[in-house]
Amino acid sequence: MKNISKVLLSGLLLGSAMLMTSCGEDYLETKPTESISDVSAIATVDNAYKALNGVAKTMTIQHGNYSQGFCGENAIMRLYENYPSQDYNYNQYASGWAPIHNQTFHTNKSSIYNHYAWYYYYQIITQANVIINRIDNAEGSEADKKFIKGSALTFRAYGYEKLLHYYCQRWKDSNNGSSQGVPLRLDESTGDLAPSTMAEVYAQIYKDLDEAIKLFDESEVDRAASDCWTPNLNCAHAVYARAALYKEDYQTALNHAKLAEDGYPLMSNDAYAAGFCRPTSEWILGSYGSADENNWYWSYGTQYSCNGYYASNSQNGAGTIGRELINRIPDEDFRKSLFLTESGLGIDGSDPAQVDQTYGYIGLTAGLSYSDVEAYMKAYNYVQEHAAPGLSEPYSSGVYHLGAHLKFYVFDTPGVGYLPYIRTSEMLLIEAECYYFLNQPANAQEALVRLNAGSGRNPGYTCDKTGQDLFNEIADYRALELWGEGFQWSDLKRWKLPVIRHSFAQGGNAHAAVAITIMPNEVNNWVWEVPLKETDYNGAYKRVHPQLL
Amino acid sequence: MKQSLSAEDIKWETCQNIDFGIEGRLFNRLNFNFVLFDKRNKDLLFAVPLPLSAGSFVWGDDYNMSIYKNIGTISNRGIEISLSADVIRNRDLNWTLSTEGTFMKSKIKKLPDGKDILHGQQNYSEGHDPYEFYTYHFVGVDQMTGRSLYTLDPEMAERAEAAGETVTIGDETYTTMPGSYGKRDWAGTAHPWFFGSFNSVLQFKGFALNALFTYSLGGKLYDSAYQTLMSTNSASSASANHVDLAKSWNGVPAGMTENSPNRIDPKGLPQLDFEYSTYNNATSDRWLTSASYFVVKNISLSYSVPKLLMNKIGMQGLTLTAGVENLATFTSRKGVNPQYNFSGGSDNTYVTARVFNFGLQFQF
Repeated sequence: MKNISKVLLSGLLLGSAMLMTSCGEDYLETKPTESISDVSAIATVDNAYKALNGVAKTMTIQHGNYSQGFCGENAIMRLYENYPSQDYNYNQYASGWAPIHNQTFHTNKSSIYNHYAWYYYYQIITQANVIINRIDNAEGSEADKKFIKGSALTFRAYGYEKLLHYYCQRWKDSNNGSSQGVPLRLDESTGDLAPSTMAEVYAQIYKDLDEAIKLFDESEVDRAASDCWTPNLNCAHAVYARAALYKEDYQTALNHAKLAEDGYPLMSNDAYAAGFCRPTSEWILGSYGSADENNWYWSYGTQYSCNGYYASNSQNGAGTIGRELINRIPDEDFRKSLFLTESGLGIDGSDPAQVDQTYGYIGLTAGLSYSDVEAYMKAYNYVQEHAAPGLSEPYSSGVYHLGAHLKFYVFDTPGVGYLPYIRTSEMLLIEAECYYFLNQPANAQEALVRLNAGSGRNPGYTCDKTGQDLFNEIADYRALELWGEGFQWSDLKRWKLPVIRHSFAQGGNAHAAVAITIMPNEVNNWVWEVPLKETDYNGAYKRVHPQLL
Repeated sequence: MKQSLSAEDIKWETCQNIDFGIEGRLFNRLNFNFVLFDKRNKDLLFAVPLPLSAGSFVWGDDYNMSIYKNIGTISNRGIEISLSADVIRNRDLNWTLSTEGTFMKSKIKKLPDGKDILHGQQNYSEGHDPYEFYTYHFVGVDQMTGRSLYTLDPEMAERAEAAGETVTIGDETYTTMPGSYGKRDWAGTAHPWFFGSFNSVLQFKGFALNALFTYSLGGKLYDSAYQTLMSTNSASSASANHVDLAKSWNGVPAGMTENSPNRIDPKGLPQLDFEYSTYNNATSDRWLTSASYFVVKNISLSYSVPKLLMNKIGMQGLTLTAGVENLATFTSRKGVNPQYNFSGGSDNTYVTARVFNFGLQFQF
């Protein structure tokens, strides 16, 4: 074949393995231009304070990839505590949000609702680790260095304490702490790390807080009075009290709760009604809020304050308190006046004309037309009379729910305000509970009296209940005092009590989609599964038996 | 706040390429070109994800933080074929047909410590294609209840049963909640096994008709747009739905019992339901669609007016053209766009637009 031989070209290319030598060992060495290296972040005390501030800021910043509403601690309060609890309702979206209200996402390991708390608290912990491990070598005064280290240790303890609430068994079911805890990351490692037991995590929390308290004492530096976001000595005692309470270590909890109170007196009723949007005398820990650091539609107040964006522009309301709970509270109690109640307004919640039996609108039908103008005007007038001075009008959309609150306000659109995380009132409730479990009912009653009467919230309050009645009293006042601040789910979990919600027809004020009972041993024993985003990349988890209890 | 981690040990990637080719012309009409290639990349840089407990930065691409490492070796091997034939060659009529295509297989040869690296719905694993899907397996719709059933992870079987999220049919137990109790497994790769184009050029006197077709065979893509359109997640806000929902399970079919052999319908559609949609339409291999496509890429017709005619009116030449790009695209499902990316992803974007063009070209 002449053609073939004439034209056949064999192209034989042998590519040699090309060894690309680098242009020198240090060609690849570059320093970041948009951030600073961890070495310089803690090189001086000034920088370390900024890093500490960064940890505080994590608690109130938009956590990008998680989307709107995940703004640090507020999402924990909303999704992990308020919604799945018993006495907090948000009826407008209840049918769509039923999986969260009804706790059915605990085992959905790839859901953002599952891994947010894990991500968020480890964010706090790992940032605190950088400070804790490097502050000793920083330049600056010893007093400042000790304060910063104590503060970072408190943040770390706070993070681990919270992780145990969500991803681990309640103490009663933990076989005295031998069930699975969480990985104890205490350095800047990033690789595999097996989870420690719950007892080990508590031991570390205690150790961190003991050291923090010692450092705070030695340092004698305190935070500026207005910096409620920086943990100080009282905060360390408060976190200690909480951790010990959940561990049922009641004497320890009692001791620390008392020390936490010192210097943070209970606020007056005027301060109470001022909107929970600025620190008061009893805020031990909170977060900063201001229009110049606006978190826009991600903040807590946008959706859950009575004068925030949603309450002003929609019929959603801002969350309502459980009807049966608030009806048990005496009318003379100042805190009750911050809610729209049947006795406060003089309406009958079981009359469908006065209160819509699906969503709870007062005087309006589900379609928002007037069903009882008299009832509606009662709500309207009540809100006008009780609105907090100096802040924009509550519920200016004109829709009022049974159980709606006048507790949380914002002072700038759409949801600007400080948020409280730890208050003295919680400490008194811890004391009452500890005395109860230590079988000292008289002291428990006295703590309740101090909280309710001594504060001026109900000057005529007395308590001579004992036994189960006393426990129920403590539980009720805990639910009332700390309503909306993100406590009740954890409380019911550790007491091993069910969530029981009743619809309007059954005498409550929850939407039918969430009017169910959730027993303590249901929904994966109230334990959130460890997220896939941890176990997929942390080989140590595969080696631990998945059913370790 | 930690933004990124320093990567102290990274070094340059290396690439090794071996080609063997034969090129030639046969019978004075057929050009051919065969190339065998084997390309290996070593010490590939990859952002290895870290567990959440190491801290993270959620203002980037992913929730997990990652650290750059030179992680492994990947090989891409295949054959490129290109043929071109002068079918008809006359003074007035010329017709050339050509085609080219590539067979290609990619494989990950080595990973650090041999460990798999999960990312999204895919998984880097030694011996597997880098774009191979690794996700939950959708078994079918239970015709007795209208719920979607998935392969159960044996390690989670006990807890799944305790939660009431299992269904036992015959000897097999399935789960209704893949995210919590399902088992992930290999589900095919996004890589096509053959892709190419063919081209026809026909010339007759002053007319020229060109046609170009491109195609790809094999591979899968994850049709997330279809998944969204088939889901009914929210009772309080409406969103668009696909017409296929009209065929959703609507009750136990006549004659179906618990022991019917065809109780599970692998092509079935689950019941329309707000509460369970998130499980019935969960992320799984149900949404992996064939990524094969065939595109009539370009058809154009041109006519050159004879020079003699043009000279009469004082011009050198005039050519009229008319053409259409992307005349038709054939895919496995209407609306799917496999040309979107390599790795089998998809997005809510427009498919490639059809473009008509007309032209006049004067030469003076």
